[in-house]
Amino acid sequence: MNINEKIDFLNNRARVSLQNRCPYGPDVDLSPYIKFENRLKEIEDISLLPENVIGRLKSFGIDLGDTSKSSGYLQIDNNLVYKKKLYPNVEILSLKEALNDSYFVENYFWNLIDVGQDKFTAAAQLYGQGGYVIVSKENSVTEIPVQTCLFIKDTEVFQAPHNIVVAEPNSVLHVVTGCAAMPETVGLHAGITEFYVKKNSTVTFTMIHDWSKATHVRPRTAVVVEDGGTFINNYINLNVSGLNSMQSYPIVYLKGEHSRTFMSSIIVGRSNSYIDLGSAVKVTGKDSSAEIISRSVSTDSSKIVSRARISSEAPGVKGHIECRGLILNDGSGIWTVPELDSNVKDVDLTHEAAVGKLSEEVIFYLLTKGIGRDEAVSMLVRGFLEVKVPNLPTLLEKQIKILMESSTKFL
Amino acid sequence: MLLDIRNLTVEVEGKTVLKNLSLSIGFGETILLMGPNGSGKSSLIYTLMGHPQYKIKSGSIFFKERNITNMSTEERVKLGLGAALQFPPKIYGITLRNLAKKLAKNDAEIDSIASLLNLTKFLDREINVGFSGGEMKRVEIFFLLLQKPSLALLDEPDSGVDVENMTVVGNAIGRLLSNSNNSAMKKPSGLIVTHLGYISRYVLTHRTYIMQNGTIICYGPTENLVNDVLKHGFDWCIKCYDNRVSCKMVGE
Repeated sequence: MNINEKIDFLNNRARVSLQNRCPYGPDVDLSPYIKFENRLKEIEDISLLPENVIGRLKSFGIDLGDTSKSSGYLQIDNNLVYKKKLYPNVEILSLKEALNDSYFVENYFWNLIDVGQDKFTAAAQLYGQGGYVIVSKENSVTEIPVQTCLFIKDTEVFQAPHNIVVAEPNSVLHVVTGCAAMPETVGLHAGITEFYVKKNSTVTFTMIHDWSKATHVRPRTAVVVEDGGTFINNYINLNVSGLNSMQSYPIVYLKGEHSRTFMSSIIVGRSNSYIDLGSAVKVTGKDSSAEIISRSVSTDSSKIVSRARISSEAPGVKGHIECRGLILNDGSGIWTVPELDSNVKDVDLTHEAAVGKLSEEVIFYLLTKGIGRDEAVSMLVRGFLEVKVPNLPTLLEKQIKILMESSTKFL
Repeated sequence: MLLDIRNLTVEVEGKTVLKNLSLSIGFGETILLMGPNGSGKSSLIYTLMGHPQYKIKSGSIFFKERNITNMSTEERVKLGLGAALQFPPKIYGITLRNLAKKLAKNDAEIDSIASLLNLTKFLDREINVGFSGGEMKRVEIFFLLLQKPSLALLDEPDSGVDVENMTVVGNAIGRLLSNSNNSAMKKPSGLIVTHLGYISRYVLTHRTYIMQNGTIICYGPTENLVNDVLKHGFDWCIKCYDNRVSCKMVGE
């Protein structure tokens, strides 16, 4: 199949799938968001961006003041703002550029996610614009994370970039993605992201979300890990600005022997957000290991569904799921769904789940130490949300700590 | 008087744990409170700290001339009460250093007090998670030294502490209750709950109270009472009290 044949095939399959509802999360009517005139524009001069957009990006850790230092990709609505490459061993392309390469299209474009999976994948293929492609070179280690940012500025925007990350054998790559929106925008985000973690490579992917109250978020992510490879997923949604609904269920295919994944999600539900987030691992490579950790905190009238699934079809597999939920007030709620399955006997799969409130004994203890009640609660929530994610560069760990500190103050 | 407890009766889930208890502690005084298991010693500490499960049925508590009987824990601590609990909970997600930073003047103070209590290597661990009994005692005293209360309530600071660390704990409590710790203020007072009395070898106390069935049955100079109790057991005290021999004169 050449490039055009594959794209025709994908488009045809997408067209017949535009009505397919996703089995999870609330349905979203696509019609207000989909506009045929959407075409990716490139903004040459970023200083032309409105002041408030620059401010919002800054609050999110994206400083446009000195783009010469940023290595990465910034997309606002459907405009490509910049794509910069500073590290010698990391290639950063726009999807558009990468799609000229037939090898790339054949091996990496929609190979892990079915374009007909649901209306969101279908719409992403037919109407989505933009997306980044990051490739780390064989035998290379890049400690400084590549930063990408997907931002919704205008209202009624459908933003669905298609991102592809390839770690060539024996390479180490860190990617950080910040996704945010201007307050009061009504948007639909359905980014597609595919990761190809080759033999003995390590990829860490940190995704930080902070949308706006009216945004619907439906990212679709899939990862394949080859022999000896490691994929670390670190999802943080402290939901400071709220969101309308979110549903996502990333899947990692541990195909290689001795491959490994660690998937962490930290979620705070506020106002009346509905969040249905899962992490799935399918293991077919023997002697592989998977760990899924989720920490959810519900406040106001938010609802959180926390899914996790490890399926094993290979011997020597170790897997563990830990789902913990903290309900801060009546009217909000958390539903945990941990699932384990195996069709071979030589596996060690376990899960633990707990949902509840903060312990009064623990609060009392902190009160006796002179910590006020509000501060005690906030310290405990902050502590609850702390997950030690392996393989992250120290600098990134520090940045995440600062973000967590400032974003959990109000809890 | 720094602390004045008058005829206090307290219930937990409908069960009386303190019965018509009266006790007072003056400024700069340290007293020892002994008694068999279940006699109500820890209940007194929880009640003084304002634990919500401990319901005061009658009587009153005055601290620094203020009636704190119905005061919240937060306000009591602000007023100068502090406690080292016997069984502190595990605090997941909060390290010793996180909490210490909220209490200490500066990082140097944290480091020096941690070192005094052999806790330096514990500073970045979650509070009490995987700690031994003795380590938890040291953690409690560590926080009290940072809090600098005017009245320190210490619940069994010597139980579960190994021989090597007994001196460490004893010296730390000595420092907590001495002037040097807080020179600008009046010398702090202490209420030390113990059932073995080891701590009395390290800390100078003004007198000892014996508690049984939720009330004080006897008091006297520490040296005599602790020795008598260790020699004859609490039964001896109880018999003495039952015979209404003038216990209060013991050792005098």
